[in-house]
Amino acid sequence: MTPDIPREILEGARRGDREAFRRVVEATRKLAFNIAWRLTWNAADAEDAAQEIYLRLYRNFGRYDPSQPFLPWFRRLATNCVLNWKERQHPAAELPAHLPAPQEASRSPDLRLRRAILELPPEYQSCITLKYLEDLSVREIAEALGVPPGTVKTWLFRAREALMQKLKPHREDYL
Amino acid sequence: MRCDEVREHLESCGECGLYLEVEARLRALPVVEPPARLTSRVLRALPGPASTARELVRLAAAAAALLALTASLLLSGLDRHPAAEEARARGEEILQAMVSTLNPLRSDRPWKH
Repeated sequence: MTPDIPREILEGARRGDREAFRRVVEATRKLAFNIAWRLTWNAADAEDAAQEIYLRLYRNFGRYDPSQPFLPWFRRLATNCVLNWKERQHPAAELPAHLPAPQEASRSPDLRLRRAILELPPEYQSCITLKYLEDLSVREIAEALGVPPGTVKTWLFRAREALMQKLKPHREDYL
Repeated sequence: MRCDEVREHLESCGECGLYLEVEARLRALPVVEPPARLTSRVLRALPGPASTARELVRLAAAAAALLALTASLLLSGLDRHPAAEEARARGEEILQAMVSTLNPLRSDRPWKH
């Protein structure tokens, strides 16, 4: 999941070399798609959002500082891009139509968990996604989201608390 | 607290049990494979480099439009209109003023108009 991209490829892609950019896409597509999937829980939306990630990457590659590691910068770009994309598609925190209704979701604990994640504030969703997708440390999540580690700890704590509150009425399904 | 005490607590405490179960489910969320077409789709959507031929066509179109505008002005006699004459005279005055302002700054070779 965590790709290792040679320095010369990154520098080529920064200069606008399309072949180098293609190799960056190949190396990061699984990560990008899974970030998008875990923030949408829908394959078609995740594909659209992943494409948006790469269009933004292509436009903004010049802003990447090659003296810094690429992945934290990429995770940040990808997470922000998907959250912005979702806001445009489903404004005002409206849940996407493909999600099962609460009564339907109640039949599947996993669906209920996914729905509960999507109901979290965007910053909590980002934390949960980065934490459980790649098992990142608090410091790595902080780097990716551009916030202090203390903030990430708080967000993770509150995100878990919020999930617990949402799932508590269905406790018997999880035990 | 010893291991068996922790285990005993987890078995009896619904809240901690739920916490652990949710944590386990979060860790077990699947990692999915992206569609095979994703890379080609992305590459097709990238903005293409501006082609030289397309740039030349745009320049030629702009030059042709300018030429047509100049020709129509000359043919219509608008360039001999008193307002056009006056504008030309004002332009001359402004140019002269600029030259006389800038000349002292160039001691070696004064500009001439």
